[in-house]
Amino acid sequence: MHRILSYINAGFFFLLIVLPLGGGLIYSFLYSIGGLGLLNEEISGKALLTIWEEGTFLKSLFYSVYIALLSIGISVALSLTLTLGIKLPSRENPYWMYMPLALPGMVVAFLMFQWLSRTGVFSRVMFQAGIISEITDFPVLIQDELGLGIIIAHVLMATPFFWIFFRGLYQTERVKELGGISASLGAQKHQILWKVKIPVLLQQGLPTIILYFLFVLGSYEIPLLLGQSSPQMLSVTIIRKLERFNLLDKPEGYAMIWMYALIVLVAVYAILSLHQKRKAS
Amino acid sequence: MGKYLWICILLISGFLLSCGPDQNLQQVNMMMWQGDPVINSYMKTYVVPELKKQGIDLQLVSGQGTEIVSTLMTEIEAGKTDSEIDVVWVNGETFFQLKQINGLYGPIWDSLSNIAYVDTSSSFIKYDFQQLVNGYEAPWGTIQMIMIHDEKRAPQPPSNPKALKEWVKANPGKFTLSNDFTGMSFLKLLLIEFAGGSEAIKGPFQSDIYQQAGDSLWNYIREIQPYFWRKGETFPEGLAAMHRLFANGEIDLSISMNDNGVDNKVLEGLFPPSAKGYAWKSGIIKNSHFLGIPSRSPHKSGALKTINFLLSPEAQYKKLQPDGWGDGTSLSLNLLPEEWKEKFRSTQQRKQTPPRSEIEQYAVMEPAPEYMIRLYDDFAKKIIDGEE
Repeated sequence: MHRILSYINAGFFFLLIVLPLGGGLIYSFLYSIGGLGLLNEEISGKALLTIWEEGTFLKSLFYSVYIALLSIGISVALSLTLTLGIKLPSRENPYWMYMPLALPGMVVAFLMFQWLSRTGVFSRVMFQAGIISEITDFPVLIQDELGLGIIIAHVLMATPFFWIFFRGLYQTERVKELGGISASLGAQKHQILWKVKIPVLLQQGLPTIILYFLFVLGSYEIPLLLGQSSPQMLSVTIIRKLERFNLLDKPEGYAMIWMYALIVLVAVYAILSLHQKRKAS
Repeated sequence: MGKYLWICILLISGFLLSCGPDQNLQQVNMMMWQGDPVINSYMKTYVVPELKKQGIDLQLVSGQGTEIVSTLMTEIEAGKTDSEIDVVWVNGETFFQLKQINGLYGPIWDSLSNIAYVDTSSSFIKYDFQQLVNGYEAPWGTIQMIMIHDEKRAPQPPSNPKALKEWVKANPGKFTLSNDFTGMSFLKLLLIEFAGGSEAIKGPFQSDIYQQAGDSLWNYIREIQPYFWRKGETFPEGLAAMHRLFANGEIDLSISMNDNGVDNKVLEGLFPPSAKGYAWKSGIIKNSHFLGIPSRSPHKSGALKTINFLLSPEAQYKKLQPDGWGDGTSLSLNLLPEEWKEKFRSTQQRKQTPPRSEIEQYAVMEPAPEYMIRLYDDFAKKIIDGEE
């Protein structure tokens, strides 16, 4: 009975998840090599060659990884500081902690635009206060080279999430008790923090951190509104390729889709396998 | 409790039934850009009710350019025989793409009685991006590119490439180009000038002309790029973003492909009353925008009826009003009946931009679509990415 149920579960997983996603990737692959598509005349690797030669794919991929690493790194550091540094009166999470999670990415992007652009609220307040002499003296935080606007928007969205997440882990993994045991064995405060509490939270939270990293890596609305013209994050680049005036660019967009998916799948598999091995050992 | 439940069920059912299509009307789905409130208002409060009187239930679907092409392409690739779309609003680049995939039904001109009021011999009607229309799309309106300035912030705006170069250098950070159709159209205008005028670039795409004029164009842009908004390191992604920069005072010049655009934006409250439209004296791109029927439309007769109404003098007159959409008519005044001639002539003039008759003298035709493809590519490589 148990075996039948697991077959049914696997069947549902295949039908609802693997088939549509896998089918989409196969479609992208076939379109990119000319096996499908109204304007494709022959099977060739031209689209693949073009995106490698142009360097757009790699540039966008590295830029996306940079944005995602920095956004998640800052968010995790902030949320760990909040989890370990702030003692809330109740073990239950207060209502206001969930509020930022209710905001969609597009809304956060617009808010960032309103607050941080050169003609935004901060700039106007600083101008009125006489801190800057011209409104354009305000530092460029939106559509900037370093992607600061994108990173700030993601940090604002991710930090509350990780704070709630680490608070939950702190209790389920009995981190406080582990700290107490370490102290009774003679560990100093900083040793408890750096060698017990933080490693436990990070190790247990790694799969979730990776999932959020992938979410940021593939984000679209925030970099679309807050990013500069070049380089762009991968999702923005792919959509631009697919929606270009030149219909012959479509295979390049599809090539980017499956290559991105392949790279991410391989990387995630490698990281999670390593994580499992380390946990087992 | 049970009574209230039944009342709720009845109310919901009534609501759902009222939302369904009217069986006595022929449903026609029209895919069009819905990004401008004045255009939406014209369609929803005038066109839809008027067509209902003629037995057409016009459903507006949001989508433009590549969305239209992608939808039709996917339907053809999937072997779908009945398209979800019956009428599309297209410009030259979409026409070029739809021709590539044989996506349009036609010729349709002979099936439209109101085409009698259109001067089909006009080169702005006969050709779309230098491609022969051949009756595969019906002209809905005409537009001319205009430059926009704020007469308080930029009282002496430039109106030719030389003056623009001087102005941009004297006003650093106050000019930019949108990385979209409008920005590329302005580059196209410069390209025409560097090629030696619209006659030199007329006809099919010529690689050598593009190469020569393109080199001059990119050298010109590179020279003034450091004086652009944000030192030319980034560009607004679309026209709306560029208009926002203009409204905020970050830039002092903007561009619009709709010559009534300034009046619309001032009426909407986005632009200040000091915003004015003016003509680029060395030539402004004029083009028509068209309506087409997808080749797999299942409601072709309804689609033809819809397009014919949109081409009628009454619908075109309503569309022309500057306090509404203010779109240029595709009809020729000489071909209209007397009563309509008078009405069209006595139309209230717009306030923020010189009349069409005044800027018409600078009009030039769109070059072949391949020039636009090359401009998009080279702008991304040579200007945004800074490649040599």
